[in-house]
Amino acid sequence: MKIKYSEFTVAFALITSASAWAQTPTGREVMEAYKEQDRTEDTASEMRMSIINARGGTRERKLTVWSITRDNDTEMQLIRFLAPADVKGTGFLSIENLDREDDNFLYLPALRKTRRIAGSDKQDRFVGTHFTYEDLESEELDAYTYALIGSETLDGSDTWIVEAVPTDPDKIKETAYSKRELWISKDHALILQAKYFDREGAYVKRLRARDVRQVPGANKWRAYHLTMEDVLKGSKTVIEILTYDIDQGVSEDYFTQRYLTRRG
Amino acid sequence: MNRLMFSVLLVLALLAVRTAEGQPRLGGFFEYDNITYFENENRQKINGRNQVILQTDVRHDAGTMVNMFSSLEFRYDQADPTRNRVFLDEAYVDLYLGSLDLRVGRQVYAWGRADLFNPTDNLTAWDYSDILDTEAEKLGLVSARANYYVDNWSLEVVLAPSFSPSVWPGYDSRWWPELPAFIENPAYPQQGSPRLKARYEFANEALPDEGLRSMQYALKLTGFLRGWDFSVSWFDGFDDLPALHLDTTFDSAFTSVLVEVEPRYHRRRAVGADAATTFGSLGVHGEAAYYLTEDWSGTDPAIDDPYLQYVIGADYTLTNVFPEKDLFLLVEWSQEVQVPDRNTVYRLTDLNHVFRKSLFAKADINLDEFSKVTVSGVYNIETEDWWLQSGANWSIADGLELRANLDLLGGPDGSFFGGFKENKRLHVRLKYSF
Repeated sequence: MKIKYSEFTVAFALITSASAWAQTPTGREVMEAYKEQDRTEDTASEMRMSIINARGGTRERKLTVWSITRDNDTEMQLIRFLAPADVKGTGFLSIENLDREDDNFLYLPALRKTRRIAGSDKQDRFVGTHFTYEDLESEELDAYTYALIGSETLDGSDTWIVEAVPTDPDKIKETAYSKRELWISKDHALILQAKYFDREGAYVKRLRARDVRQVPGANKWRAYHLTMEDVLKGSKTVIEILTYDIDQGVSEDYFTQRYLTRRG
Repeated sequence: MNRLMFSVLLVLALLAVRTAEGQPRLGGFFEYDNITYFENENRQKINGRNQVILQTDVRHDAGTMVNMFSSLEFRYDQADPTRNRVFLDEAYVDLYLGSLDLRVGRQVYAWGRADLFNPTDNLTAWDYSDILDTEAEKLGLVSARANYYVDNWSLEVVLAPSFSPSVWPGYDSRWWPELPAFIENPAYPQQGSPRLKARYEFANEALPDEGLRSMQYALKLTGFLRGWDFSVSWFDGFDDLPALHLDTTFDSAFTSVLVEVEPRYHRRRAVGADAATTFGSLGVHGEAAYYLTEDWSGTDPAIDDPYLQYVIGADYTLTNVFPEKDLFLLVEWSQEVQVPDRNTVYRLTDLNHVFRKSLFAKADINLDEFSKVTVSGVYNIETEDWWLQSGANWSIADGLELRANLDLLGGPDGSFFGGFKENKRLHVRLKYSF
């Protein structure tokens, strides 16, 4: 199971030519544009994550995320918690594999142990947030059918609205969603909003992406403020990107159990 | 250089170091801990806990190759002064040299993959002053550790120049494992004859001699291959728990008996292995160690005979068992086998042999974003004793956690948990990490 950084931040990069669609694209073409602009060799970021319950109670997490894309197009990711003190040092390592289940390891500093995590629990919530592991995976274009169902101006940005329905049998089996609706900006091909519908077709979650900025030193754009909301309960997780680097040469050595257990 | 001096020097080094690359960082926690027992008939015992702990951690990264850490604990228990201590949990220096990581100083080891207990985890001693509350109660061992990494393999070598025993419950603790009140009268060897009331006297524990002969070593080769994690290990050191050597003296008329008890620590070696993998949503793991003790021939009843211990287990998470609630389940089976078989009868004091044929299960479920309920239990099939713990955790604020555990124990007299069945209790802990 891979938790792709760019999905995790849901910051989907720029296609500089995307603002000039010659004609109305298909849903698949919009998603291919998004997928293309999303690609990076590596990323490194620090972020603040707030988990807010329905009564407004808030718990904050601060974490660092490194990711890298290997030559075979698989990804590796390392997440390390920096705060608060009771979770500081907790780490999560994800290594995507082509020919078998992904390798996922959780390091708990209180126990001083690394634990292999079952890779197929994609509906599990990621470290208590409103993001499931499935929400954080990179988009698998061949596992879905994409339909362009409209366009809309969202917070001043023109967007395409794409409906994504799983069609691959394995994806249908493992996904928690019967469909997703994605609002993708026409200028930077970023997902600015996503609505998630459960297997019974009920609208259950919404992702909002704001504060779109160009990443310093890179010809990429990212959303620096993200909110995943449980629309039934009213609880949510808010992510603020504090620092963000793209293609700065993150070493593959980071994505090992050795570095996972190293105290930050 | 003795261990204390070595540790103190390390702490001083940590506090003194200032480099252009950063200042030492301070962290730690403050904790209030209260235990209430439901049965308090024996006034000779410590019947509760009313404790505070302040732990201060100092960390300093002196560049990319050097990291230093120390952790000092202040513990004060108003109900049980024997638990009061100022204690250096850890103090070590890390050196990162290419493929080699070195750590030198007082440090804690955590080998193995099982949850109930770890047969391969023999380097670090424990504070057993409260047998049910051993979380974060590992005792640092002054040692040097080298980890050499090649691809997905690592070789760990540990050298400990001296020995640190585990901490036993005090004699007035409710967790002091009582020795038999009566013993057989040799004047009437037939079954059912009157037995003699035993009077015990305890000698000071006999620690291994200082010096090269008390040196401890360990090796572990760890691999990660096609979805499997595994390791094989070797330990050559001392049992962190003492063997109780009993010397009985009967009076001339065989009407009373004095038993002199001398706790001694014996050398032992252990070859171990563990493995873990996942099959879809199911995680599985196993861990085993074969102990080669000083009494291979089985002639000394005080010293363990060679034995094998293993734990196998599986975990599974049921997603959305209730709306937005995930249930984590863990089951483990533990067994001990004497090889060669000698039909040894263990005493309550044999803490190494509590889980000889045991089933352990644990379940936890999140109630909401900030709270969780956990239930766990272990049942010893041969001796029919058990321990059940149900608890709740609530994250009150960032870094502030309240936890409450209810512990129930039961079983026949003479069994391990049955021997402590009057120790049912409520344990409340408030912890602020900074």
